[in-house]
Amino acid sequence: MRRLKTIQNSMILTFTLLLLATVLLLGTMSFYLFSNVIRENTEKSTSQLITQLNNVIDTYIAYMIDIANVAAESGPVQELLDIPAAYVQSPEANRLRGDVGVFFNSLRTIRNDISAITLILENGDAITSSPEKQINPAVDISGIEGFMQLKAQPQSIYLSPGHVQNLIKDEYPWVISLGRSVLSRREEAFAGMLMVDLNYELIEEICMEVELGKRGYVFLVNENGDLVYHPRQQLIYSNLKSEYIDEVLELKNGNLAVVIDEEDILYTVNTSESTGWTLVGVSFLDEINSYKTQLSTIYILLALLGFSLLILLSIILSSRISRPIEQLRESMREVERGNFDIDIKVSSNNEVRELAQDCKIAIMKIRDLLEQNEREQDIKRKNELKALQAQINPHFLYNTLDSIIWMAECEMNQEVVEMTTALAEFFRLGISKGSEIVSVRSMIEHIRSYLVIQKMRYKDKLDYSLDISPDIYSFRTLKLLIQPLVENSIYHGLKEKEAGGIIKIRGRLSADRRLVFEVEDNGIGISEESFEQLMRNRSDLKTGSGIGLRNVQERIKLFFGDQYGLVYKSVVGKGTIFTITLPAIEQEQQ
Amino acid sequence: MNKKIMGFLLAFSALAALFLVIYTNRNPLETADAKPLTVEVVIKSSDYENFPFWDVVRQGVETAAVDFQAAVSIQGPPSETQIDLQIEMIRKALARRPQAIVVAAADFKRLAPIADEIQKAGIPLITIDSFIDSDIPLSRIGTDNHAAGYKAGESLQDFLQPEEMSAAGATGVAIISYLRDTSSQIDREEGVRDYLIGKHTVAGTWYCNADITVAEEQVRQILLEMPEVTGFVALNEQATVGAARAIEAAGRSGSVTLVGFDNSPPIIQFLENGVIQAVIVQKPFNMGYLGVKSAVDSIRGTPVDAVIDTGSVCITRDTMYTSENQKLLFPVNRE
Repeated sequence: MRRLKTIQNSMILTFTLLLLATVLLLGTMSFYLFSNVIRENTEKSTSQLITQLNNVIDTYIAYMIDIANVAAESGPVQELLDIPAAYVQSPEANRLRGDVGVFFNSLRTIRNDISAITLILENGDAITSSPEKQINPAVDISGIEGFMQLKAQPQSIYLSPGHVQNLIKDEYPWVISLGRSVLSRREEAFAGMLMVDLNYELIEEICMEVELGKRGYVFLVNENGDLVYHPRQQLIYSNLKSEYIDEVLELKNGNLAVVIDEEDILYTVNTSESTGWTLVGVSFLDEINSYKTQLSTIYILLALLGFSLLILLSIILSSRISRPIEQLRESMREVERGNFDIDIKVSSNNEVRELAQDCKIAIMKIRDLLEQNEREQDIKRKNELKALQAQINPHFLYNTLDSIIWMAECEMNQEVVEMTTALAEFFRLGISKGSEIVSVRSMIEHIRSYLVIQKMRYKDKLDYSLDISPDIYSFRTLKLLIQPLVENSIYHGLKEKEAGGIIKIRGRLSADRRLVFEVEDNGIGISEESFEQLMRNRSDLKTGSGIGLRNVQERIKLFFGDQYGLVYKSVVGKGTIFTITLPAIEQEQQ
Repeated sequence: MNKKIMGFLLAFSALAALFLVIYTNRNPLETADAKPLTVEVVIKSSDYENFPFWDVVRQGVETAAVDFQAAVSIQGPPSETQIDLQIEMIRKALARRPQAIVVAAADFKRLAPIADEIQKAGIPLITIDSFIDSDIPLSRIGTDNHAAGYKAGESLQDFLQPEEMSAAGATGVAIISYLRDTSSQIDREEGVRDYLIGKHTVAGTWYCNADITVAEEQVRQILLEMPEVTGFVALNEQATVGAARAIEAAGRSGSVTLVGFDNSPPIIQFLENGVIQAVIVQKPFNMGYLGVKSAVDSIRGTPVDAVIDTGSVCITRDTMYTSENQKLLFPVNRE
């Protein structure tokens, strides 16, 4: 589970979610936009198709009206109408009737889509385009559909829905009847109806040819709401199917979305001005939308493809970011194990590389510090060794022993005891069980022993005073710090003087809590050059203890830092004051 | 790359894809690209010229095939009486392994074994118009013959003269049936009798064996020998035509009432001429249409009604040319 939290995984997860959201959002949006465009186009083309079809029907009906006009205004018809009512049964009238029938027949045979042309007169006379055939005796001629309408409005055109024409005996064709009134020339009055029967099959064929998907169809309805044509007419009459006829008639033109038998259906409605017929295209929306399945398949494939590509990309991208970090981490682990001599290799060119560079610098600095530390430890050790060597400075020892021998020869027993005791004390304290750090008390005792020996040697040439504040006795200090200064004062400052050389040693705690020791002499003083020389030399073997002032200075700084150390003030011929400042370190803190 | 995460992502994208598929394609069965359902229809006769009834059934079948996007093939023996041929045809249809079979049975009893075979093949069976003596068919789709007979009785009542009723107390009514012991004729006769009971005396039932000339002779005899009979109910097309011819020949048109069944050009003429007062017309288009619809429903697992009445209509001379009735009376263009 720890692995799940890596930077790379978090990045991949974030990328993935982001990409998924983007892909889904963009995909869905463009899918719907595209779907709408396709749907609009489909609706538009369906609408054009339906309008065109209705125009075809209009043209066709117009043509039939022309034929009706030709028939109604033809010579034989007019001549027949000219015969006065009293002569209707005359041979002349019968001859004209025959002429009308022949004329109608020739007119009918021009086109095979005309089923019959019939003239129906007010007196119940009917002349058909098939003069050889009998009129159906069961038919009430003047009660025929359309006759009353034309009689009332002679200027109108009657157009029937699809119906069975039973006017001719034993024939029951499906037709659409178109009627116009026939006016007698003489009286300009309504004289009868001229009816052209159109084969219903023709309208059927026109309408059936239209393809609106696999299941779509068109239907025709007249202004009264009667079905002129409907491919599912039987189902409608059996209430197994229904159409929104009233809504269609109200709409006249345009699109209408309806639900029939739980199916979403689009009506494309067009109403003809001339026939008054409304043509309705019925499209099943799931068919219109069938492209959606294909479209969505394409979209899903594209989305999956894009998605996997993007995931791959995110894996590559995130690994490019996280790998340098991983490499850096590996390098830092190496450093943790203590290997500072590694080269941090980071295979990138961005911020991580900079970070790696910074780490590299830091490691280098640490390495330098470590080296410096090692060097300092080395110097410390060497200095300590030298300080110890100084303890057993042979000159000092020879001289002291010479003094003891001399005193013994003179039988100055008391002095021999005193000096020997001091010498023993001097060495005991100087060695101090090998410890570098000693108490102020111990250091002062050490100096006192030293001064006792030197006093006995130099007699009146040397005097000294120790003025150490008792409250600093318990503080810690380095051994052999003041002794070299005293030694220096004796050998360089007082040795040349005839008498009256005084060394004053003071120790106290300063106001800012530092230990301050002063070694003052009234010797010849030190020039700046000779001080510099003293500081340069590590030891001064030919002139005494051999622990140089430089040794003192270096040890203070190595142990306590640069803010502490040794300074001097000197007036040539008058004397010198050395001042040592140390931190006030209490015993407990050690 | 962590395999767990890779797996997670793959599963996630698969889920996303699935979601999209379901979302955009909510009803895969309804899409145009769905494989068409196969339905075999075997009817009683494929002689559409002489049996316009079956032509109309075929129209219904073909319309439903378009509406329900099914691949439907329709066949039948030339004659309604070729029972063995029909059985063979059903067997061949079964061998084509359709998803559903629709049968108009030529024989009530003899088709029972083939129904068993269809059931063994695990194919749903729907019967239309004429049924099979078996519990296997999922649905019986056809005219409710009892209701049709009842309607014929009602119509007869409307046309009988009130004076005749008072003269004889009740008018005698003759029922001209076709084949004894066929289920449809029994139901129709019962329907007629159920209506007439208590209103008119039924003089008897004559069986013409679906023969026009036999019916004509029987009615001629009745008209001669049984003057109290002024109402006739003829239970099928042949009986109706035969009765009408006899009435017309006897010059009794209008004075006796004839209510017939089915439609054919002669019946239409007799109806127009007033020889026949009313006919009960079935709805063969609906039988074909609903037969295929039920077959499709049964394939899709939609419950199918065990019995579907396709209905019948009583048509008189006055209602012959209403837009509803002319479609039933003149289903195809006969010029």
